[in-house]
Amino acid sequence: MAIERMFASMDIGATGLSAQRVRMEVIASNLANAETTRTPQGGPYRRRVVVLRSVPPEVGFRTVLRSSLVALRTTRPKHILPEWERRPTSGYGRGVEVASIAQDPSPFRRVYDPSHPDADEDGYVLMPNIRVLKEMVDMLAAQRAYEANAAVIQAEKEMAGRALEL
Amino acid sequence: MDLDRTSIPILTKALDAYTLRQRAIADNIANSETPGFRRREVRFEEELRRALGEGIRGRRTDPRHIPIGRPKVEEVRPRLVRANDVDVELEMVRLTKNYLKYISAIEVLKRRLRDIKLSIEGRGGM
Repeated sequence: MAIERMFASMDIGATGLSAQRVRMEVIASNLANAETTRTPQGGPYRRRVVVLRSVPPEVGFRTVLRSSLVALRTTRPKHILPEWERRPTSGYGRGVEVASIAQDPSPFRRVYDPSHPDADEDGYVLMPNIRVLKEMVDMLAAQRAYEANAAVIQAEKEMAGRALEL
Repeated sequence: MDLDRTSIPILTKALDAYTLRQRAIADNIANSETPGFRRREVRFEEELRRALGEGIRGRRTDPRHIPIGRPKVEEVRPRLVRANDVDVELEMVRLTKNYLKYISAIEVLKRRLRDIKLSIEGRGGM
């Protein structure tokens, strides 16, 4: 087994860590701006959302060539696949990535506060579409997901260490 | 002594499969918050069991022949299948189980190798 294949799980774990960290940063920004009524774009701050996407498996040249030469399909679980179609390395995902940091299109909160300098003539202020409680829950989820990925890396590290003892 | 007839090839096969399974689990955990992601799973034990069991096997004289019947141990390949969506708790349990299986296989392999070494060298100091 190639050494870089042995560490593939660590790389995948690392993509998870970095994606969850971006999520944490975005949540921190949302919380910091929960009451922000002025932004460079004008109007109150819009809630940001991290959109995650899985990194598709790497398809090698050989796999593509072979599958274009002979196309065999299994339609039942009992069908037999030729060896090159059962290659263990093809089809493994490569982790997760941040597809984009999108804006939450939901409407702003309207709060009655006539003393606020940004209040309209009826005394209402447009506040960011952020609910602090929801952000806190998201933060916990991101934290747990981060820990899960860290556990993956830890396990892989120990496995590699044991293999070296042979 | 024929080393291929010992448990060493089976153990190395298993270690290979556990490493690949670890990778699939890592990907599942990394994508536990990705919308629409479907988890992947590595199947291996059933086929190995089939290879070690009874049954007929078609002989192949050309690598392009399609295998039928009971597979050979060397030919057992871990298979990647698509399953339902990810549950982080279940995935963590799978990770731990797979980790322990890997450690045990390493431990057994280590002992086999030590036994062989011992039979070659004899007890030290004699």
